[in-house]
Amino acid sequence: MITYILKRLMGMIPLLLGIITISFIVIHLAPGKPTALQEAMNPKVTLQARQQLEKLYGLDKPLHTQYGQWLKMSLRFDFGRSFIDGRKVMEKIRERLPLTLFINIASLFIIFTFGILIGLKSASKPGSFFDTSAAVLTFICFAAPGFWLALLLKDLLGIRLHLLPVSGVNSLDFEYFSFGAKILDIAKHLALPIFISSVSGLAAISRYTRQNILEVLKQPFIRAARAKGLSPNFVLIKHALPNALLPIITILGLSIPGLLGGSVIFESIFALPGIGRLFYEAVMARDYPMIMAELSIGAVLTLLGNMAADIGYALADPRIRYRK
Amino acid sequence: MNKLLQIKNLSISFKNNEKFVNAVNGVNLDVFEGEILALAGESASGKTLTALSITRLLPYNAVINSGEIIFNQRNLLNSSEGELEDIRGKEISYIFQEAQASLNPVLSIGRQIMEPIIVHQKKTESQARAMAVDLLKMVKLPYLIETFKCYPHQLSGGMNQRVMIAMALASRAKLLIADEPTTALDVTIEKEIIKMLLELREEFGFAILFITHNLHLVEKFAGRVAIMFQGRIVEIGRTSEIFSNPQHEHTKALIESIIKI
Repeated sequence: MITYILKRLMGMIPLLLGIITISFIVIHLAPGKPTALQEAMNPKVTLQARQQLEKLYGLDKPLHTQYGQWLKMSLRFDFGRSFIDGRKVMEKIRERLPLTLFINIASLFIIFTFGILIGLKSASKPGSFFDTSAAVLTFICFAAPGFWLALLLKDLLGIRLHLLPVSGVNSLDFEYFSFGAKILDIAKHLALPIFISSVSGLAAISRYTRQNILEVLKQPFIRAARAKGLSPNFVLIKHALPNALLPIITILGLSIPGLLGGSVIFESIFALPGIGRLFYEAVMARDYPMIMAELSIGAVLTLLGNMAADIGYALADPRIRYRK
Repeated sequence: MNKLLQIKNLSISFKNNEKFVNAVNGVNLDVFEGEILALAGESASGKTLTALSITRLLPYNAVINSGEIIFNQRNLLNSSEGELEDIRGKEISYIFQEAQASLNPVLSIGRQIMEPIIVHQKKTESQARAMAVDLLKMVKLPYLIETFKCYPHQLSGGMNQRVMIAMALASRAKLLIADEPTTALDVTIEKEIIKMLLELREEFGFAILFITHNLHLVEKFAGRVAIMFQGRIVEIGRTSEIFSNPQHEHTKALIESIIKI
């Protein structure tokens, strides 16, 4: 297993280099320059000033030199300084990361726990009242656009019922709260964003689990398990569920890179300082160091997530774990 | 000899595209204690459905229309699901055709043998483990401890079928329903498995309801045989009598088919 992991990690290096190189080229080839914003703001800017600005950002050198420099720095996890405000890129990401990570982990947790539970309950009695109502609800959740749901719920819970705050991470007088009240305050602020970002995933995983379990229940070993005198619930949970969860491990692994990504739309609706908006602003300003940092971290996480999915699957499925 | 199981006037139909199709029609069958009764017939003659209906393991789209299945003075067709669970795997056990497909791929062999022991005999984990290892020994599997930890895909078809037999006999069932247990195996393994079943029956005295389309096996191995054709039992009697003097056209055809080969 350890040799396998090492081999996979070695194989990731050229892949990662490829992804990063292509990203670097594509981003620098994209129309617009980081300096354009400052020039456009001041139409009287001279050619000399413009060149000075380009030199400051290191944009006057040929692309391959820029690439070489960037690569050398990024190997030491130094992604340089943001063009927008001159602050260190890593520092800016580190500021935004906890919130995005927290929302994403919480919603992933909700999606997988409740999705699997709903799917299991639905599959235990297909066509029952629970199953049909779950089906209707999940299809509504699928069909409803997230931003629309977010606005409606904000209106209902925040403005009409005054149950939850409508935006931000904490209240204005947060500093004066006791520790418990602080946690409650954050929870209240994040409840809606977490819920909204879980909705469609929850619907997908619950349907997927239900379908997988029903598929597994058709297998001969289920009837054989019943023939041994095991109860239907025991068969469902100990025999059908582990088999049905195998493909879900892969989905879980593939969701790892998404942990870092924030949704620009939700972050804007709820006024949350997350990664999504940071990336969006960076793209709009052609803030190359910031864009490249986010893309590189995303690429690493995607590759690691793929590997985690494969390893998780292998650990869970004895047919792969003990291949003859 | 006492009657162990009585099937009276059993009819089963299948729901297919909103229409009911009769699959088993008024089957009457008695299984005596300790005997080997073969239920023979071509594919789709209703043998397997009859066998599954005994402990009500039918697929969801099959319906029992009428009949009684009497076991231990109780009609199993009126029994509750809980009562049936106490009978399945304890008094009436099954082994199926595809042993590997009948074992859960993600659970170890040992775990799967332990399950019925824990459920029916209320044993602790460690007691059940010891009993499961003994059962593996009983069905003559090698490397007991290693095999115990194996998963079905690591064993051959014949070994998996031995595991199924060990599991079926874990609680000393009185009736073993063997649904084409050797059809998926090659001939030498088939012989070994049948031989072992006979030895185990000598030892424990369970009855076998042997479902097969292989009359060759029936002739060698069953005391009585019931011939099934299109959902009905067309002929039943001592194997030697049926083979020497078949009455029904279908029986004759079946017997002729083995002689030709």
